[in-house]
Amino acid sequence: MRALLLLPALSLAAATPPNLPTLLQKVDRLGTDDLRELQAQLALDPSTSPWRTYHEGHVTYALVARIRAKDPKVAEALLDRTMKSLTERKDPDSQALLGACCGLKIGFAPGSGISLSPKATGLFDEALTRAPANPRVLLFKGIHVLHTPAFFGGGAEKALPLLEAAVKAAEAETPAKDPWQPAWGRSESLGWLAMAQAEAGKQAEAKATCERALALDPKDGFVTERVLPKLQGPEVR
Amino acid sequence: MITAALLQAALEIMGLVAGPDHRPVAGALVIAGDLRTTTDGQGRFRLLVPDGGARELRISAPGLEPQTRQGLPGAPITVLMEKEAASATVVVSEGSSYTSQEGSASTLSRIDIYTTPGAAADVFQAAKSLPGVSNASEGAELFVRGGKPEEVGIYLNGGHLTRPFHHPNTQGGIFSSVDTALVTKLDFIPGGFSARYGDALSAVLDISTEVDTPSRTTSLLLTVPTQGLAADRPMGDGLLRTSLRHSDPILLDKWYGLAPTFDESPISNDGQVNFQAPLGQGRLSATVLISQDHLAVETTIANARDLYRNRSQSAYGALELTQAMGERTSLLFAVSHSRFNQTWSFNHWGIRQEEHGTFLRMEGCFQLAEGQNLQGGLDRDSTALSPQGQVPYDLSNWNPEAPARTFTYGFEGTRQGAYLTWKSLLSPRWGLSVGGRTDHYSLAHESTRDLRATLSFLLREGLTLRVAGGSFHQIPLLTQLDPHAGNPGLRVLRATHALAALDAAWKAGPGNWNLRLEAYRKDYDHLVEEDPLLRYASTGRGYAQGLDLLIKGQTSNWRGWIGYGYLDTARREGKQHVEGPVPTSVPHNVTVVSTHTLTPGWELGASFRYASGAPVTPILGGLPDPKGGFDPILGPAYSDFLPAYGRGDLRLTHFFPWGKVRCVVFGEVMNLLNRHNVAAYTYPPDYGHRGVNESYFSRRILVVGASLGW
Repeated sequence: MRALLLLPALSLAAATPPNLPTLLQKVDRLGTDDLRELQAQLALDPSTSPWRTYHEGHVTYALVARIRAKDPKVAEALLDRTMKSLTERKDPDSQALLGACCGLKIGFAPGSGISLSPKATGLFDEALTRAPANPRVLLFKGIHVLHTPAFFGGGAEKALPLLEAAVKAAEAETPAKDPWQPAWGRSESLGWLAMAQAEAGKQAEAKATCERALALDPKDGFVTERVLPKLQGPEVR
Repeated sequence: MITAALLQAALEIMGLVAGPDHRPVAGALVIAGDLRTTTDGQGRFRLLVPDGGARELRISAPGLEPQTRQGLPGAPITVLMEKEAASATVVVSEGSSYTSQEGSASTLSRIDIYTTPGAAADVFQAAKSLPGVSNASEGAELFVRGGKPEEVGIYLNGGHLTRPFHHPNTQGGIFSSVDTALVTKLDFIPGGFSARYGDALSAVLDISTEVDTPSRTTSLLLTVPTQGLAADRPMGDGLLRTSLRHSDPILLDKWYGLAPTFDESPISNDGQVNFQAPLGQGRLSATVLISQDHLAVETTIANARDLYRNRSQSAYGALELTQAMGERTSLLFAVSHSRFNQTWSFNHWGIRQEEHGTFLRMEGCFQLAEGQNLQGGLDRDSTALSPQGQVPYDLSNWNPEAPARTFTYGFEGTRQGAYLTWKSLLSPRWGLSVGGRTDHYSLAHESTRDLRATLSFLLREGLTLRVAGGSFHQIPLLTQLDPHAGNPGLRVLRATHALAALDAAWKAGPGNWNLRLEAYRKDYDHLVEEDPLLRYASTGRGYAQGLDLLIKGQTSNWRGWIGYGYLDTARREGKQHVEGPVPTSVPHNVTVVSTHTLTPGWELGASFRYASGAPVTPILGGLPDPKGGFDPILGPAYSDFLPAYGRGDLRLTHFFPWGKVRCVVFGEVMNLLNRHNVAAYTYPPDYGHRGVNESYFSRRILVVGASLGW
């Protein structure tokens, strides 16, 4: 039935970038419009990969992070739906993504931090127990720690070791045979490491990390639009 | 020909529009400045752009969230439209619920429980700050909308928790034995509650300590009166949660002279263990709660001064199993057992009592269709009580020679019930919950039937109107059904609830706001009235009606709420032989709570509670009796009042990390205005003049403490 519904889409899909799994590995570096396109293509794609739910969640997570300020109502509804769909998944990548969604959710309802923050921490810890060298788990935990108030054990200094470990883990990760399997994280870890270094006042290290990230992807929007403006110095653009 | 086609493609923006169900959306409107078109039956659109440049497209369709996309000729786009967030659907609720579930609609969050000044981080004390719950006493017991504490059904992790208080009999138990450090969810329903809950006349408090995601945590509480340790430890896929608390306010008592006549300090201890683990397609949860307390104090009760001594112990165990059966059906099985022993003595009066209770619930939930749920089950409650001892027949006369009511026998009562509730989202704006239950009470030899319903209407986003009503039954106190000291022929108590509520949630400036305005009416039948021949008779009746208002706000550096409850209630019950005021007739209750973040890590909180004075029966004097004592001359029942109760509390909290330890240090001034609130009137043996028993926190007290978590 689903295949029948997709028939109209396929004629257009032929005109769209065909390598969906490749695009899904750079979700966090895409702009809002590209994410919406990717979200739609993923929804209409006939693939039955077991990673489909993960990617749908990841795309939505990235989309919510971009539209939450402008369109909080839509963003929160999308986030709620994603959290519900990820709850049943027990693989480390999905657990870490759910933990990251909990962190986003706290932004919509600050009072929920008292229950959602420990929940996120529990998810990250459980995921790390199962996959201690998973760069995406380390990255999401690092981002969560970075955004957690110092009183609750967070802050830039606390996040740095996690993000450095994420960078190393991403560099050491071998390519997966299944193109749908999550394999992203190298550029993203560098971007967030640079962000944490900037917030920790380590400007020189942050600039160097930005350069490493831009060497991998010169169009990395996260680095150019969010990290570099935090840094001073004309030599880094 | 080919050139023309290529030219056309270079000037056309094309796309496909799909809906939330991934089906093509026909008739969606696509607008790019002055240009517009609609999608065809296959969800496709083409828009001719004369200059071949990029355009910002706005795609919209009824009931779907509009989307803005960048369109470029030659680069077809795919649009996935989401369900319109603005067309929020009504929440199908049951009765008048305050929940701790986190989110914008949360009305009693855990942070409120922890940080409300004066609530001592106690679940029950925090619930008392909601409108509709009387502030007239400092005890943790809940007097809800004119109802008595025993009219509230209390549940913990699926089981029925019958004795949740420390120091029962002492102004209603100051604190509960449930450690808030473990509480994860709290549902308090002060009226019109679901058919799922039987044997409760006024309200339901349902507490859960289950967590979704196991993590390893430890917290240590160190305050002057209370020390506690709580720890969560993952065990395989499961989680073990433990808590131990010890409370001894003797230092406070000595420093502040709260009760200089303590013979035994009012010590209390409690311990809780909860294990939860995934099992099959569901979860298994086991809970054990043990508490113990004792005190001995020289005090005055009514017209007698002597040593009051109390020892009580309670144990509670609950097992809850949930299982999903496919995607639409889930089953729940819960069983709990509680034991309670209490011995108290005063003068030559006293009771030694043992109580055993078992509760069983089997329940199924079935999703008929999206937005249509059926919930039904069976439950059974049995309570065995064996009181021994005697109390004055007239509680205003504690002279040793006063007429006595003697308890010497044990007896047991059971209740078996069945219930069914249908919850339906009739439309995005209308929600309906209809349920019914039937119960059979063995001691009263009576079967009851109740019908309950709640209709919710979403007036507009963030504004919901609810009306609810139904009937509720509850067995009288077992001591009143005692075949030897009571009347086994009493009928089951009955109440009917009707309520209308308006819930609003909105954003204003930097703040999120919630408002609830609720009007209610309760009518009571078969209340227990004292009878000269039968001891007790089911001839009483009464009503309670009122208005509850809660306004709650939160900004980035402030949160607070105002709760006001107006109550008009009268009963013909006990010694009140005409429908008139009773001790629960407290017309005005106000709570104001405000917490400010001064700087990151520093919070200043203040609260103020006010309640108009509870009615009391005046004692006009004493008449010598033949045995050399005095009998009280009672004035008209409940024609006098205690003074109004008022108390302000101030709390300064500092949060800071210390290595890996999260530290919270606080100082709290309780009863900042040093107001001497009155708990009861007292008299000398001849009733010659009237004195007062002050409430426990009847003077300004500074409490300091720390909580460490890692």
